[in-house]
Amino acid sequence: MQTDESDERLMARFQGGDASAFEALLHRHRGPVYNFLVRTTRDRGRAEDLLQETWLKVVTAAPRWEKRARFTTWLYTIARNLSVDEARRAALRGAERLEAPADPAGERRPLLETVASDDPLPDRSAESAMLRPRLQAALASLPEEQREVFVLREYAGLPFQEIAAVTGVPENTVKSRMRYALDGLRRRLEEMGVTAEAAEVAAP
Amino acid sequence: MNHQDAREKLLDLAYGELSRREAAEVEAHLAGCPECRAERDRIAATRAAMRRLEPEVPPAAGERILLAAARQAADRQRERSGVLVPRWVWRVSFTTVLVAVVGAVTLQIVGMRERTVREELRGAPERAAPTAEAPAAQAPALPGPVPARPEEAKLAKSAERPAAPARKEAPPAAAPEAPQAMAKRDGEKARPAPAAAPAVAEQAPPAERSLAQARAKVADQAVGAAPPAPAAAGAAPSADVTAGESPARPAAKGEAKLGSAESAAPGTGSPAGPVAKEPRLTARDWKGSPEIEAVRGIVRDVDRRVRAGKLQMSARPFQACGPLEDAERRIYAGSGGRAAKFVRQAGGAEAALTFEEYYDDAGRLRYVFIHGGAVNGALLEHRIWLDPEGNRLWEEQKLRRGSYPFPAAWPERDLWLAAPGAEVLGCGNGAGIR
Repeated sequence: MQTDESDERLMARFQGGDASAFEALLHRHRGPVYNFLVRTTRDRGRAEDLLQETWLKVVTAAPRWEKRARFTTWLYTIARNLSVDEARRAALRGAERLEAPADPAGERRPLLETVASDDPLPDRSAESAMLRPRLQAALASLPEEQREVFVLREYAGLPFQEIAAVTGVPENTVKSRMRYALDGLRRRLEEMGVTAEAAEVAAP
Repeated sequence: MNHQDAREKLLDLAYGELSRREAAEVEAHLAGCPECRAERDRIAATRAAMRRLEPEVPPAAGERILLAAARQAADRQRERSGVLVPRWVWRVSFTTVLVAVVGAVTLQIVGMRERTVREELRGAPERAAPTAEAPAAQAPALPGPVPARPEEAKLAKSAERPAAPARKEAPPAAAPEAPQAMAKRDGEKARPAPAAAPAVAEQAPPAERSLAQARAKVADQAVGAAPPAPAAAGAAPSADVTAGESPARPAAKGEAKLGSAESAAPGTGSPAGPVAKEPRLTARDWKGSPEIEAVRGIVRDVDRRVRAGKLQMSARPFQACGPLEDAERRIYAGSGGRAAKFVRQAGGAEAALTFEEYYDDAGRLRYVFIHGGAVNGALLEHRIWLDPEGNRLWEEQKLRRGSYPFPAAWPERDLWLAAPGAEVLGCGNGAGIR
């Protein structure tokens, strides 16, 4: 399987009836789309459902995909629309689930308690286990529209222009949301004392 | 580049979205602007921290469903574009098309036939009575796959048995009626499925004859199953192509059935064909019967060994062999390397099915559990119990969430009567078709 084949080329092959091209797309993007859904919904169960729905939609709507369109723009638009619809339905049902923490350890427990500061040998994984809830909390603290932009850019790797297409706002708005997101994250991380060690890592 | 412009572009720089020239301009500004450098470092630090959030890993469970859905869609796509005709469309879709068409046609005939039988009853009760009163459970021959409810599916061994002339002291009235019925069939075949129709025309008569009464009872239900016929007719031409090229299938019972059905067609009056055995089990007693219990014991035992990890599992997804064939095969091998349990995923444009086949210690197929769903949302559970000689003891079908014309008597060609071994896990062994 060629791994460097473009998404659009793979999609065209799938349109022509080649199921292995779909498989390549799935392997490439299933994880990132799932992460986008987990981070935006903050609920793994819902993210899993939405992930399936998203890809089934890719299958059923494939004949209507136009070769001009970037595949990732299309893919994340589908995922986002499904997610937004689902959230709306949940809101209509009066579901409290939106407020329920996706990861109780990360979101609702007092953050500092989750950190075992007396860990004798903070190896790489233990350190990251300590860090993880704090990073999740920082991300979760962002307003939805900022979090969405940040996740799409940072984790899904979509360029700003594509994010604009996916979210339906001008590119400048996307960038300003991104700035707010980065500022918000930095403040939050600072509050939790993460910045110093992160800066160390980032230092050349 | 002035300060404001550079500042605006720090984000693009951080994410590598600037052209080389723009990037160089911003870098040039940065060299002389501590404020912008500080901002750049803040962005970098925040990103670095957030990059340490490990990615969430999606559960693997959903992936296979997606791949199966994609395979189906890809098949449909190829069909539509006429690029090539998948062989397995014949296996599942064609079977269902055939079934649907047979169902639709026989229904019409059954309608007419029932009237005839009634008239016949009035006219010559002493002659027609045996047929007319034959209990549904004894109706001996289902010449082909027929859409029906569980009650009708329970005709033991029905699929393999040739049309049974035993019951054919039936109405001679069939002869006068025949031309009319033929005309009806012709009309029917011209419309939905040119390829399937000839077979249908040959299949219908015995059905109409021996099952007239049984079918009439379920006419309403079967009507529900009929509609997919025209929709699925698009797949029918493939049958024409592929049926001819289908490679040596060991037990061509399907053809045998057709042959005998043909010879027993009305008008020929030929009473050829062996006398059908009476089904040993009935709707009332099959469940607790020793034969069925013996099969259940085998299944339980195999499953227990599977759970205990006592059977050697080997599996193979068949993407490499092409999407037209079985999607996956899994063997749980007992001693000697032959399967105690054999699981296959198969599918066509309209349905995705899993076949679970269980073998006794002598490697004989004893139980088949077929489950899956059709594109219209109908869910299937189909079970076949077999005796040591491979005869069907009992067969039942359950449909949920809607109806779909799965064959009530499952075609023999889908069953592996002898326990397969590792050889079926390789490519080029006729994966997906037998």
